[in-house]
Amino acid sequence: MIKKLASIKFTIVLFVIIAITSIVGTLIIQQADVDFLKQRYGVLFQIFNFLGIFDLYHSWWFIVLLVLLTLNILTCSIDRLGIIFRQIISPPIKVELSYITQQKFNSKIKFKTAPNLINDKISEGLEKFGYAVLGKDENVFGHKGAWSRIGVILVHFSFFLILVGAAIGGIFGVKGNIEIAEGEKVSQFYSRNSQIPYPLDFSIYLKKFTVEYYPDTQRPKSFISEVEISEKDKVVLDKKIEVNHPLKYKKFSFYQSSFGTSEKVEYIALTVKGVRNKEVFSFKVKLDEEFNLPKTDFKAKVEDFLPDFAMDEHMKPFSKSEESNNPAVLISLFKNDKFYVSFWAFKNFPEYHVSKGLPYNFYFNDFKQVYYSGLQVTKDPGVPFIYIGSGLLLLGLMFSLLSYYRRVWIKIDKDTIYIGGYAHRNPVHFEKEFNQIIDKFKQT
Amino acid sequence: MNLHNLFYITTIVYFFTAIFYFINLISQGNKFIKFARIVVLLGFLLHTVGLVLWTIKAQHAPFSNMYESSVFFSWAIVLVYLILSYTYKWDILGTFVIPLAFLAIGSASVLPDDYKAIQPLVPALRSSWLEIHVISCMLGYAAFAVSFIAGILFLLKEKRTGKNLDKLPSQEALDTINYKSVTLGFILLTGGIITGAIWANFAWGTYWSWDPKETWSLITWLVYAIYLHARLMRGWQGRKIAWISIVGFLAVLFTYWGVNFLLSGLHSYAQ
Repeated sequence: MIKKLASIKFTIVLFVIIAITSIVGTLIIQQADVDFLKQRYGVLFQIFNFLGIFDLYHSWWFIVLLVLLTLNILTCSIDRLGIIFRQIISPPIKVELSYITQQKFNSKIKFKTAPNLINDKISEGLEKFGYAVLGKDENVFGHKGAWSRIGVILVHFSFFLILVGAAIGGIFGVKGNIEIAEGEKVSQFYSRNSQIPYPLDFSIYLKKFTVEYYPDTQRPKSFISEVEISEKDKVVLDKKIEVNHPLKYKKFSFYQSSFGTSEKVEYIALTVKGVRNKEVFSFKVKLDEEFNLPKTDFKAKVEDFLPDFAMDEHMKPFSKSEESNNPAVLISLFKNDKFYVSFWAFKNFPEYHVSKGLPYNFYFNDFKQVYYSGLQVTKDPGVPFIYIGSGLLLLGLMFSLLSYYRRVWIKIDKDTIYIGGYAHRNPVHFEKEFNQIIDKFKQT
Repeated sequence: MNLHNLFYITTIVYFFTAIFYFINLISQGNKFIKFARIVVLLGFLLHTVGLVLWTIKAQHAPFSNMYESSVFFSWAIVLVYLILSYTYKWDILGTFVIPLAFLAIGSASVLPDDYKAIQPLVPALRSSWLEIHVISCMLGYAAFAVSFIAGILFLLKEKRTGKNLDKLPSQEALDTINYKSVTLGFILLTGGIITGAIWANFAWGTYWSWDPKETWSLITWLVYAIYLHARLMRGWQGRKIAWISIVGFLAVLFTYWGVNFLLSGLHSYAQ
């Protein structure tokens, strides 16, 4: 059983199954609304739902596949670890002559010089080719590319680390969203699959949200939330959160993920011009805030604000969207504290007055809506494993794939040098190197 | 000069390079390969200058949409080809690799004008991980393209023999070319996936979200992982390996193009 689990055949089978099931997951809509899926897939819905295909990558059987892969890698690595270390730490240095002549790469050279002199030359020559020379006297042994064998271990160990990191994240990690309006403070968030709020032992306050645009365009360059983190009513951190620049505090990270405008307006800027005496007043007011027109009997109030003014079939005003496409305010005018008239003023159509013949003309100049910022909150203790694993994986791949392990044995027997070579991989390249080594020896 | 026109000219130059390589293949001897070699360098020079000027003008590396990335993909194919052909003397492979580079840049040229304009980067793409992620993936894809060609030629040589085909590397050499380029591609693809994951963790707080592009890059990675295990551990060679490298490159093409047009996801700005 364990032997089967540790086999390379099983690795390949798992790779194939994971690849094929992953393809299925990209063809069928994942994590969507149940009613939508029922409508979309009809009769198949029940079957797919039973098999967990609508959330395939988190289904029990997909996780079982990943766990099996993890175990496979672990057992394979343990299995090979001993072999590989023995291979590079205690390679067979003293070997029989027949062992050398049986190697795929072998050759012999006859010589005339005294044996003890030639011995040093052989060691030197091998070292020049980058070999670590271990043997002595009539048994010279050299090997090269041991790093490539260590690389193999590193690759599998780091892949195991990545899968462990993913498991840790899946079990102990939390992910959720916060929506904070400007001027609001929040100290909890809702995780994705829970209705119960997740409490934070600190609070996050949104001072301001801004959308920065590229000059002279409507293309957003940056979304910025200026926030303050407080603990026990004491501000401990003041920072900007931007896309690609999250805020890290304690074990949590906050990411800029969305934004919008709330229905609230922070202020409305109006200009009022007298029709007869050409007086001009400017006001910056809040919604429902009464303001006097100085030295007159009139008072005014902004009763309503619609960012995208439109009228329904009963001529009732409503906002078509939250975008400020056609911002309008409903202004009420009072004379001697008595209701006088009510009318809409439009930012984009300043000369359009619903109530003509007013003593004053109202111009809706500007306004500032209250933004809310959507932040993604993440706590994932698996991330360090993923990062370390990824780094080691890349390093291990370079070690193992850009070089290969090879050995050369040289035995001096009477007036002949026997040379044997072995390459763990890449026989084509090794053949060239082996021949170069022999040529070099022949020259000396 | 309009940079789009510069890339048009590059496309035409690659077309003629391909013609020279083709004439070389069907004619006697290897006379035309010299022309091909000079013309491909000229095209590569134009291509490089174009990309540098584009980067200066757009103020970002040319990786932000399908047009830019196709032009860059084509450049990466030629670069990997030039490096391999100078190191291992695989000039003749240009006969099949250069048409691929031509198709990549040509596919960019025929995109509608809206897709070709220089656009400022959306906030998610404004990251220094963009360059390293895309360069790593594209060079990896280019290396896989070379292995694909080697795989196809291996199978072709198995089916047919002929004087012209004798100009191509031997089956043994093609097998080596296949392995070398997969090795290179696998390291680069791994780097691409890893840098993508780190970037995603900075941008969205999730290093892996099973978005179609991510999933398909994993599928591609698995195909080549199977390739390496089959070859290194089970000793597979020749025909079987050639087939895996072809399947692998089809997965690459789907990851790169197919996902953008057929599936939707986080990488949707790549369209």
